[in-house]
Amino acid sequence: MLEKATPFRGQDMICYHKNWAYFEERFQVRCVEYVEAKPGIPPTPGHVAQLIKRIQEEHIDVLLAASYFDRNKVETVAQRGGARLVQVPLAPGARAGVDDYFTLVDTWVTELAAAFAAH
Amino acid sequence: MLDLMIPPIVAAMLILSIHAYLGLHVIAREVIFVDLAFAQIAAFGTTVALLAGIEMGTTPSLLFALGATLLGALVFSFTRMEESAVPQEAIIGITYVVASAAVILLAGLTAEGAEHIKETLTGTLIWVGWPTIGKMAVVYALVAAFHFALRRHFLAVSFHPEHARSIRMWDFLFYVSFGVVIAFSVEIAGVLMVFSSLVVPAVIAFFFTDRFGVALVIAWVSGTIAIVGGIGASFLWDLATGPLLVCAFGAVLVVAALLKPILGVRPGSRVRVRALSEPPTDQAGDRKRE
Repeated sequence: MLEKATPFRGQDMICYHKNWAYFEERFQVRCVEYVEAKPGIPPTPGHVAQLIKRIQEEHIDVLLAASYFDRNKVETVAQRGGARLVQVPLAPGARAGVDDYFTLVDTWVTELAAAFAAH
Repeated sequence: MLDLMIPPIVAAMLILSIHAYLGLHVIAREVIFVDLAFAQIAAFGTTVALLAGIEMGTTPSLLFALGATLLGALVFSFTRMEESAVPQEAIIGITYVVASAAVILLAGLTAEGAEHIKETLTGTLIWVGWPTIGKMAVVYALVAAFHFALRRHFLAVSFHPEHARSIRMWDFLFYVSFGVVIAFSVEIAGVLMVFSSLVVPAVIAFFFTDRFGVALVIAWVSGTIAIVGGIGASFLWDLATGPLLVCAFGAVLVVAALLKPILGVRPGSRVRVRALSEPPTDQAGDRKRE
C-alpha cells in the first residue's frame, strides 16, 4: 500500500476540512491549508482569494474534499487555482463498493496517487 | 478579489428578482414560513434519493426534491381554510417540523448523514459558479413567465381571494411554482438568505405603499441595497458572505422602519392590484377600489 502512495509522498495539498490527520501522518502527505478553516463556518472572501493565490504560487496539485460536498462548490476553488479536485468518500458505505475501512483507505490512496501522477 | 465578488452578487440579484415578487404574495397570504417548509420538504426528497443510492446534486436527486415539492404544494393548497379556527401557519409549521424530523431519521440510515444535514442552513453563495447561475436563471425565467402570463389568477387568489374562482387549482399552481423556485434557491443560497430575500423586501414595500406595482419596485430596490451592501461589506471587512448578507437585510429593514415615520406614509392594510381592476375581466375585477 505504501508503494502505491509514492506519487504523493512528501507532497503538499489543500484539504476542505481537517479530516485526514492520521492519513497525512501515515502516508506523509500534508494538508497545508484548509478551505474551511473552521468547520461549518463558510470561509471569508479573503480566505478564498488567498487560497487560490497559494495554489497558484506554490503549484499545489490537488484539492482533497469529502464526497458529501456539492461538487460544483468545491470545483470553483480548484479550477481557479489550477489544482485537480479529488473527492473521496469519508466513511465506509458512502460509495458503492467501499464497504469497509480498508477499501476506504485504498480508495483515498488510489485516487490521490492518480491525481498527483496526472499532474 | 473583485472577480470573486461578481458571481455571488449576480446570483443573489437573480434570487431577489423572483423572491421579492413571491414575498409580496407570501405576506398577503400570511404564510410567512412556507418557504422554510418547502426547503425542508425538498431536503426530504433529496434524503430519500440518497437512501436509494442517488448522489446529491445530480438530476435524479433534483427530481426527487421536485416530487416532494409537488406533494407539499398539494398539502398547502388543500389546507387553506378561510373559515376555520386553525390558521394555515399551523399546518405549515407542522409540515416543517415533520419534514425536518423525517430528514434526520432518514439521514441516520445513510453513511454520511450528519454532514448532509449541516450543509443546508448557511448556504454557500460564495462558491456559486456561472453554470449554476445560468441554470437558475432559466428556471426563474420560466416561472416568472408562467406567473406573468396568468397574473390575473395568481394575483387574485393571493390578494383578493373573495373574487377569485377555482381557488384550489390556482393555489396549487402557485405553490408548485413557489416550491420549484425554493428548491433551487435554497441549495445555492441556504435557508436563511432565501427567507430574508423573500420576506424582508416585501415587508419594507408594504411599509410604504398599498399598491402592488409600487410595492414590487420598492422591494426590488431595497433588496438590491441589502445585497450590494452586504456582499460588498463581506469583501471589504473579510467576513463570511452568507451570514453577513442576511444581517444586511435586517439592517435595511431597520433603516426603512425608521424612515417610515419621518416620511409620514400610511398605506392602507388592503393591497390594491391594478391588473385586477382593468376591464375586461374574466373574474370580477376589483374596480370599486381604484
